[in-house]
Amino acid sequence: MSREVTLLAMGPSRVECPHDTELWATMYMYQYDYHIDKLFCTHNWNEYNVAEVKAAQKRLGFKLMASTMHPELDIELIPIEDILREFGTRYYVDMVGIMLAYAVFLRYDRIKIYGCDCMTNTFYANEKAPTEFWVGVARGRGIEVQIASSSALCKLPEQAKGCFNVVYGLAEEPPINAFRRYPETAGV
Amino acid sequence: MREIIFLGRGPTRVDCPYDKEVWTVSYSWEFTKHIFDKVFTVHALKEEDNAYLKKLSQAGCEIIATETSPDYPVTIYPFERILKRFGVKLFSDLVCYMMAYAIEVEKVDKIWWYGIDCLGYATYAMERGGMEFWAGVARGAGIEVINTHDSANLKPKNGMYGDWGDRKAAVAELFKKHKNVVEYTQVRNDIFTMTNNGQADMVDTSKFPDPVARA
Repeated sequence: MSREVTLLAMGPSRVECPHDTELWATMYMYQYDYHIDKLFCTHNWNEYNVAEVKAAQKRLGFKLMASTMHPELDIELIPIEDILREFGTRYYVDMVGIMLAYAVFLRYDRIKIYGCDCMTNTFYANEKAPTEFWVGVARGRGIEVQIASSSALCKLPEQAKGCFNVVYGLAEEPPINAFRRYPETAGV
Repeated sequence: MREIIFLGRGPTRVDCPYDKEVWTVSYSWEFTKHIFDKVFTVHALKEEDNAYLKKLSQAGCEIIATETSPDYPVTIYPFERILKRFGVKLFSDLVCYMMAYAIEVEKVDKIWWYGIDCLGYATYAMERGGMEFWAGVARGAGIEVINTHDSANLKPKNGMYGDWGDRKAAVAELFKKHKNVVEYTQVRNDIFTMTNNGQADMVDTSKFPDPVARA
């Protein structure tokens, strides 16, 4: 049976999420009261209202995956040492990158990404490319990755090529409508 | 083990040792007379460039393009095969084509990037992600990609994300023990300032040493 996981972050495309698989979410997603299986946090606990996180965990029942422990919270540490050993790089620039690496590490067959949109210029420069690196790692291991249609992740900026997803250097679509022949994998 | 150099036109091309098979992008012949092993091109070329490609071809260079030429033999880029294997169309730059070709067609073991820098702000937005995506595909497939020190590709602005508390030291130690890891150093602050200021795409290459000065 295919193992699927959805990674959910705070960007606008989170509204596209079908909530039909195991769901991992970035930290503040607990505010939306979705069903969450794993909630990820790699920031210092001083940045959060720990009582609020504790109440959310009790209410929603998620497993809290974090970089460090906190005496008042039920936490499972993200096995970063194992992940680093597996991939041999410290190229983690945002939370979704770490979640992606962890999902690839756990050998899921399909990963869906919603709310990771990289829509601003700052994000383009800082986080879009690194996140795309991890999407690439997943693809390189044969894992299918599905990204929200309104996310900019793994798409070329409109101003760059005239329209989204136009392939560099080609005036037209590739020969014999090649993409249409592989619709099941054209989502990235 | 098969190792390939990918040569782009960015400033760090001056670091290229030309000590392995060299694949490059069109117009790299403007800065070196090296006889490349493969040239990739997807653009319509000027007459004089076609003449130079003909010379390279006669010297043994393979020209890989998306259409045939009456002037020299061309290996048509196997787009169908690439799409079938990877199912994505994230080709933001010629380097993406080269990466996909190296992974799927030539099945190389290690790729060294020189002159693949993404130092301009617009380039960051438009092209860097595609290149890094394909670097990721390579990594996932077990192929190492080694980049130059001064390239902005594959480097974070602020080091590894997250507060790992006292685990940080253990992580650093882990990297010392595993020699096979690819350690992407942090992008230089002066480079990042140049690239992230939104003022211009072109980077002042005078900040980089040129081949003559280095010699």
